[in-house]
Amino acid sequence: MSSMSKKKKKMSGIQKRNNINFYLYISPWLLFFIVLTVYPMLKSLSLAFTDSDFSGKGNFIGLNNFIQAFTVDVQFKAAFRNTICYVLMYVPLSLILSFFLGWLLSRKVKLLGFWRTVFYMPYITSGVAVTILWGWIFNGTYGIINYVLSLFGITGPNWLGDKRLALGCIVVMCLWSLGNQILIMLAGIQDIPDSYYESAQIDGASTIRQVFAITLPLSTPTIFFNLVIGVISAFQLFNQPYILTNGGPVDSTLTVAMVIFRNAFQYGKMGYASCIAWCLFIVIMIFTGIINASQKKWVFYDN
Amino acid sequence: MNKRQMSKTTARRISMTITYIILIACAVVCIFPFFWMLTTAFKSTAEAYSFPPTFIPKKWLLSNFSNGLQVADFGLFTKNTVFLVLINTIATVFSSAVVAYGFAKFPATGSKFWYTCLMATMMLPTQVTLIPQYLLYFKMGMVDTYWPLIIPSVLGGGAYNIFLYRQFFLSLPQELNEAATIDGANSFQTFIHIMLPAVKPVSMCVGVMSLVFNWNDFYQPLIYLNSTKKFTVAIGLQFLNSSMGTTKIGQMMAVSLTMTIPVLVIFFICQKYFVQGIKMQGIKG
Amino acid sequence: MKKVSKKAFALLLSSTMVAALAGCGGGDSAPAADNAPAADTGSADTQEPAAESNAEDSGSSEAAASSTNLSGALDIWAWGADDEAKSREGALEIFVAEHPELDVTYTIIPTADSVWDQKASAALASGSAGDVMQMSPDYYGMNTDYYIDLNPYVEADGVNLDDVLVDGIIDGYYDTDGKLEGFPLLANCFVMAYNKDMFEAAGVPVPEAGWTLSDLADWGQTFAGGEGANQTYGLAKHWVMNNMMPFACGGVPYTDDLSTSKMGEPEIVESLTLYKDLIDKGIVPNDTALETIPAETLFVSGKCAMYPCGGFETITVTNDADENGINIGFCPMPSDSNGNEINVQYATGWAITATSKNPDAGWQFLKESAYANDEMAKQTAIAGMPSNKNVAETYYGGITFKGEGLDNSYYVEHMGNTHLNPFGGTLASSGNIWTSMIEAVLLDNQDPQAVVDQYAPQIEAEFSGYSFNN
Repeated sequence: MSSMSKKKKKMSGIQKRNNINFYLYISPWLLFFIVLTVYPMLKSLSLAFTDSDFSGKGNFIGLNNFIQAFTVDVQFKAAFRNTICYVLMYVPLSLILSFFLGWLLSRKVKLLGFWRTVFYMPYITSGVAVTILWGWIFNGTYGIINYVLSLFGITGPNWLGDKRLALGCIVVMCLWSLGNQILIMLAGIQDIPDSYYESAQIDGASTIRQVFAITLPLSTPTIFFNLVIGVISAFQLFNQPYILTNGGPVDSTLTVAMVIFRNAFQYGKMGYASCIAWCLFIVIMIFTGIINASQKKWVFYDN
Repeated sequence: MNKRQMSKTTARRISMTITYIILIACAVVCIFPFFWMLTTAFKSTAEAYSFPPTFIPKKWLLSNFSNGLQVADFGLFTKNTVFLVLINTIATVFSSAVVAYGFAKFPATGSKFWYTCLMATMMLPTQVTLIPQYLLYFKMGMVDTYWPLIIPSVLGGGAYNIFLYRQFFLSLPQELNEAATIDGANSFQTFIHIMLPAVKPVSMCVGVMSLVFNWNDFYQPLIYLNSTKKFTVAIGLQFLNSSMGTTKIGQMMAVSLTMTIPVLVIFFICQKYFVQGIKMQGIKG
Repeated sequence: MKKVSKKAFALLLSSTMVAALAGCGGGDSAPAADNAPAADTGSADTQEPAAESNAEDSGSSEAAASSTNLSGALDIWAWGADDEAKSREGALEIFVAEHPELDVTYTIIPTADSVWDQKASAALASGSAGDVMQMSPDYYGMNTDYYIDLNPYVEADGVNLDDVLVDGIIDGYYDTDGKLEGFPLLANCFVMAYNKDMFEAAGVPVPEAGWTLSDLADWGQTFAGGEGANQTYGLAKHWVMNNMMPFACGGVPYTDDLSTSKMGEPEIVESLTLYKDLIDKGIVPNDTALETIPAETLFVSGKCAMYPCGGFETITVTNDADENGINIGFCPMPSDSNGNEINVQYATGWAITATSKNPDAGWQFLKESAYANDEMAKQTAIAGMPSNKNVAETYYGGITFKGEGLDNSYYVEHMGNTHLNPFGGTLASSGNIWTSMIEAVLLDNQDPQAVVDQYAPQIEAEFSGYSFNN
């Protein structure tokens, strides 16, 4: 009895020290989170129920913004559909590509440093200049893609001018700057202990089989990480369609983030923009929540 | 050498050849826009848009560099950018390591809740918190200073970096921690003298990413900086981008190129650590 | 005890380190910090009445507007990249030099796109914007509460604006309720540049005043030919073409008082059909709709016979054409079926913020920028036609370009015939819908009537929702 309570007391002592240490260490972030994240978030949440302009002055209008967004606003509807389409195209493709290239790089290739730099290059060179360049690459008449196609006697389409293709072009452009994900994937694959492969080789398993039996399952934690980050960033797509197509043709590349921008800063409807931003935030949370819940089924943890 | 071994080495050779072919193909795609930037930097506007495209400039125009770099005070902008990038990189590396160590090593009450909050901050669309955030910085008298650009780095350095550090700390053997505690060192000494050196790869990784990000970022500096003499290189590039459709493409590419190369060189030097710093394996997320 | 303090010290290390470093940053910001207190005191609520009374005061006491009594700080925010930035800086430097009694600071933000929108919104909402802000009646700044009404200053000055400003240049700056939101700096409209060699080779007479886009559908095909990248056209698809379109067949986008949209009218269907026809016949290229290859390049490389040339790009266009050995001339913009010229004006001006502590100095700057300082107007002339009537007519109109008989006089003569860019600024939400309508017809081959039936009600809904209509 007495030893029990003593132990309990000691435990709570450790617990107490843990608590003090924990909050001391995370205090810089906690300060940032509470002051510069939670406060602005709550502010925008309160705006979502008003008809405010960007100065924050406006009247409480209940759920009207949400009703407007989901029943009347055709631009939001189009943007929502495009954003989901983009996520469904970009995320799986980015995972497959980054796994494949990460795996190729892990095969003890020569000049690894060179390859790593090359694949990371697009990520470094992004910006206005590169987006202008992509506009030229995709140009229907003068673009390099259609030039190459014409060498084979094929007349290419007007890539960014076709509402069925424009979003796909944006996906391609975003896949191009995949460097970070490829390197993360490579790191994950290199982390797999050689012993797994050695025993598989003794069993005479083919390279392809080793990929599916060892590399892929043991990389699932990395894939999971790339998946979550990919989904979160894909839902917030803004820059590429803003510069390249401004949402066109016929709203086919309009994204939710662009609708937020237009309403908040072009139309001066801060209240409505906050409402849409919160809808987007909630959708992202639902998606990541589902992904998080699903990891028990497919993410393989070593220990 | 028996037959089976021989066929095995041949098979390996073939598969490696295929590997290189695919890698080269992908590398061409990755390098092409960069290559195009390079050649366009030496072309006149007319040639840049000529058709069929010329891969090597017919006339090498060095004037794109001299004229482009004169459009704005790029010397000063470079100085400002280097200053900001250095502070932010050092601050991010240090503060995200501190915060991540807290998340990784101290199972406190509420730690799970705060970790969820940390991850959720990544999901927040930036545009909607812009004005309240701006208002706060303004009330603290920080608009048109570098503070709004530095504070996020000092206070945690971002969820992504904290996450990378946390994963690495978790992958370190617990004995490392315990050994240090038994020695009588307090937890912060443990952190400084044992943990930080042990996570050097991830520090390099976070450092390089923060460097690339801060070098290229023009959104935050443009929102918060008003005085031209405080501008960064990324803002300076905007001086070449005319909103009226008369951008001098050659000059723009010339200046972009000049500003990209230093980052590329730094990345090439650090890329080895970059990959070593990422740990996902064997950790329950 | 020791442990805790050490830890606390360590956790503060990051901030102290940066604090030390920020010493240098702080040093940098010292001059700018001088005017921070001006905007720092109190909330926007307490400042607004003050600013209003200020404006009224100066309305009664005319002396306040004269430059001799001015003092204090004046912060000015401009936008502009490349030549526009240079012209802005030149004019600002003259003002700074001529007003040693004022502590003038200025910034030129190298963008007029999404980032300016966000920066200006945040600054105006927090009351931290400059005393004087760049604005444009067709892009940014009309119908807001952020700027003071300039009417009292104009009255106090007692100047007849018609004598000193280019005709019609100030009209766009009045809100529908009569408030004068801003004061003009410059404006640009368009002239039709044409390729003399192509017209001669085709044996087609150069269009004369009164020509229409429907005429073009008949004779423009002479220029259409070739395949793929070697294709030639009659008229380049400059980005301004979309903003000219509502007027192309005698229509108007909305009523003058901005109360009602007219985008559902048959004239709009006609215009869309006409443009579609021009593209289908190969007279106008369709590609440049997405801002990738500059239409200018097509023209100066001899692939387009005509190009609507804006006042802001004349130097570039004429130089490039000269470099490529192409002879160009200027002729008037097309007219609609009623004989009215279809020309669109882009204007840039200045406004004084309601939070400004020094509106009198601000007014001095606005006045000099608009008409009272010829040297400043000459700097402005680099980027377009200055609002200063004297400089516009004598100096700006006389600026010549490479090529025979090419000067700016066309812009001065035609500015009076222009429509303000129809869908900028407060009407941006309608403008985005209009862009979708154009794309639906020209890129997606939808039926013009069906497109108008689908989208015009959306624009009507936007109009009824605008704050100035409630």
